[in-house]
Amino acid sequence: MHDHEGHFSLVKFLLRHLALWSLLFFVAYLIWLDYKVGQSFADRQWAVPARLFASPLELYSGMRLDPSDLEMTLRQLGYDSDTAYGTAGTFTSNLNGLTIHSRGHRFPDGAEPARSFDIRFTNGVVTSLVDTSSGDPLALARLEPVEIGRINPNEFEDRVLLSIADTPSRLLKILLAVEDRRFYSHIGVDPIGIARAVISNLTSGSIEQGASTITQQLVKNLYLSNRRTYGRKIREALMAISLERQYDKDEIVEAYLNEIFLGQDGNRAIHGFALGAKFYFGKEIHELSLAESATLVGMVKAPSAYNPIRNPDAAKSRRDLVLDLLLKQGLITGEEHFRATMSPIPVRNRALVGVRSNTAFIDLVHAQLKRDYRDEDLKQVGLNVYTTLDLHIQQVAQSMASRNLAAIEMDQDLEPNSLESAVVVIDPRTAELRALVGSREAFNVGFNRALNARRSIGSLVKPFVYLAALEQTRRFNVLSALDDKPIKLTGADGVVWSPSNYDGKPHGKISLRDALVRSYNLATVNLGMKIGVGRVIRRLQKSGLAREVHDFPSLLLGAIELSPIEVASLYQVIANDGYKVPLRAIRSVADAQNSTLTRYGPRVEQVIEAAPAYLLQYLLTRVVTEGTANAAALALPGQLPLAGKTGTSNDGRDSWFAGFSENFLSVIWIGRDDNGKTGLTGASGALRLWTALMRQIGATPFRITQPEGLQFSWVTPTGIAILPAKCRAAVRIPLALPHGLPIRRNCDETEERGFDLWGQFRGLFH
Amino acid sequence: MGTVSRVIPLSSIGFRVALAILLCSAAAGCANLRPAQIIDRTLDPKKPGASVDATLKSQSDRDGSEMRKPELRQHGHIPAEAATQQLLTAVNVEIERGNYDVATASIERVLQINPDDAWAWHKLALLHFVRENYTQAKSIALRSNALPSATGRVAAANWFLIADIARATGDLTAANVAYGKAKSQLNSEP
Repeated sequence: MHDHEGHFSLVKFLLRHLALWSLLFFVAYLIWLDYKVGQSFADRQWAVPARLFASPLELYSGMRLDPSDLEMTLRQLGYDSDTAYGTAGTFTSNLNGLTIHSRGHRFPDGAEPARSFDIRFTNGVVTSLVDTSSGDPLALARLEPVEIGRINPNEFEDRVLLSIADTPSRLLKILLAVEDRRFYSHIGVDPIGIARAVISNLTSGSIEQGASTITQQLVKNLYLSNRRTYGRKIREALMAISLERQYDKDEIVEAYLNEIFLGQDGNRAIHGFALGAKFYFGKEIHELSLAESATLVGMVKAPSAYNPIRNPDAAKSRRDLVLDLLLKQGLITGEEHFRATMSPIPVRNRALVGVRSNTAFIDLVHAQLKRDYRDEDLKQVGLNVYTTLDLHIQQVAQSMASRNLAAIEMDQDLEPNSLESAVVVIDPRTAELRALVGSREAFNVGFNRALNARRSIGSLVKPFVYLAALEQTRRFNVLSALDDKPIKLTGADGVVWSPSNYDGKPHGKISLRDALVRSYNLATVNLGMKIGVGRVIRRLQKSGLAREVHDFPSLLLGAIELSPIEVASLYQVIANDGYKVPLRAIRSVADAQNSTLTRYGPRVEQVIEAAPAYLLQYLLTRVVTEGTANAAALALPGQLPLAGKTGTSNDGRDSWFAGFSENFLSVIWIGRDDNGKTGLTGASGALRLWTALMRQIGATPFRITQPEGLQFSWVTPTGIAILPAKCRAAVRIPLALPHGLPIRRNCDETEERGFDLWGQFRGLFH
Repeated sequence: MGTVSRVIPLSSIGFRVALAILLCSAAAGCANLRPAQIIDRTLDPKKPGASVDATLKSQSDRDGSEMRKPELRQHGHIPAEAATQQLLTAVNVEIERGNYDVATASIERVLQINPDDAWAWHKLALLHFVRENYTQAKSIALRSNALPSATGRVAAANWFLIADIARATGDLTAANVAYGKAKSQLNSEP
């Protein structure tokens, strides 16, 4: 009896202690959970990858702009041209132009206000820009920049941050109506909803129905797994209560709006309503219609099943269910319900196109950003990167590359798709990259030839050989006689090198001018050996060549492998009057609030004296008008003068053209990835693409201005002495000072020219 | 910035920078602004209230000549230049307030729209000068002068600036040469 009572007391004692300890553990667990939830919610950071923007379109009276190009830009920005007249992010076309209701944008250099304005055109020129609210003319208006891509790791979350204050109240109402009607009154869990779900699940014998509040959903998304167990549900409820205890409702719903998963784009996860609006509808969140808002909220339940791109029918049914619910709850009128259910699911997946068609350029931007920013910052802290890319030029360059390569293959009887290409377009004054094409395929994400294909540059090196000579102003001028005669050079290894001209013939004594204009190899090698290969290398290095090169004579004919972007960098110096500006793809980097963190302005350095730079430009304009690139002059008569140089490597493995107008310097490379022969010269391949491109992007005539330190003088035909202007044989040329030429007082054997018009005419063309 | 005031004799440097800014402002259509306060703030912090007019007056008193404010450039305007005038005006205001970052960003925007604008390049050179980036200031001033749009007045402003850079770096000979070029550019203007 006593034993039995003793056992009973012991059990009671143990049970009491067990209960007490369990309670203590549970309380400790609750305290720990409360602390953890509070701490991790406070420390949470939304992963917002850096967004890259193209150069914004600046609009002003007098600018050349095709109305269709403007419309394309507006569509890339997600502007509507139909029903939503008068609201930001829309435009209407009319007889003489467009009325645009811009959204405005906070640029790092200042805010551009949202405004409505009329833009009028005549023959591809903007004739007026008028603010429609005030009726005042606008000097300048800037559209928002088109987003061209994001810096993304392999597996990544993408979102656009949204604050509760910026969330349209209609969207919020729809969300709460559908997901959590009692959000503003419960404590994180909704007992009524839970009871209903438990009964339903017990009846069915499995967990089928959830009654998660928005807080519970957030907790689950942030901290818990997707497993459907009672243990997980209890933890979720406890954490939700804890979260509600520590944070206010607006903070919780704001986190939900940013966290919610709304679908997958490849390996990119679309998170948050702001990015959802952009991704599925190409709109800012405040521009969403009732139907679009209902579609997005409807997706929360099953983003994949109700994806409006992949499953538009399912998305529409779900949207209509949401609209029915709104009507039932009295949140919308019958008319609004009718109109919204009648509208189709309008989907604009511009983000996809934007990201993938500028891969080569984005590669470069990413590489440049990595120098100044940590990788995790680029992927997480929501940087805004303003780039120099001109989307219009990029698209033209890409399409020209694809189209012209196919045409060249056909004309030259080459195997289809055997050729590849790279295109670099820059503004030579500011060295801003306007376009970069790394492959003939628009969506190629593989090898970026513009940046990484190092190929022999052939005759593209010659301008630097001639520049090195012309910098010796007392020794060479544009008429100096050169020997275009065979030469044999023996290398250190005993191998004899004997170059030849493209036509296989030596041309004897020719002027320096003709040697470059006609790209004669023998004259160039003879000149290079005269001035020294080392001097040419130093000239290249001073112009920005960063690679180490060997002091071999074959360098004089371009036995040096460079990428198209390196060539563009070298030619930028020539096109920019001898002033080097390092190429730039980024203008500025701003934080998530668009405050500037880094600005990448132009850095200028004069690396060629003004007079030799002028002489080289002068010679390169002649290459186009009468030399190896005269096909361009025939094709672009209205855009002359243009300047440039063809380049062909051994056996036509590489076809190059580097040339410039006043506003663009473009470098084109065409060749095969396996470095096989193409049979193309610079003129028959790359020049063709260059010409088509420069015509299409509106290249303007190159203005060559006479600098200090240079004068035009009448000289003998071989440039060895100054002659009186009246002499018949005298030729008028630009001479860099000091020229050191002797001055002849009379014409000697030459005839007196008097005032004959022929002599003056001749002068114009030399 | 205090370093600059120790190195540069204010009376002449101030005059030239003031003149450069004034020339620049005039061409941008904003001759009524008083951008030379930038000089007072950056080059001589002890005289925060000094104005461009006062600086110009003291110089003209010394020279015994009346300093004439240049007129607006009436020729050579292309559409982009007209469009960027309001930006250049805003740049002057930002310079006046000492907001060099904002001014630089606006100037770079002008250059994105019209990279041939010699005045805009000149202003960029000026902004490098006030930040004591003398090498950049000189390179950009020379670059500005090499542009087809560099008329006599902008060329003069650039040479005045180059003279000041030379003086700031202690090269008085180069400063005098540059000053002479500036004057001859001004004299060559109709």
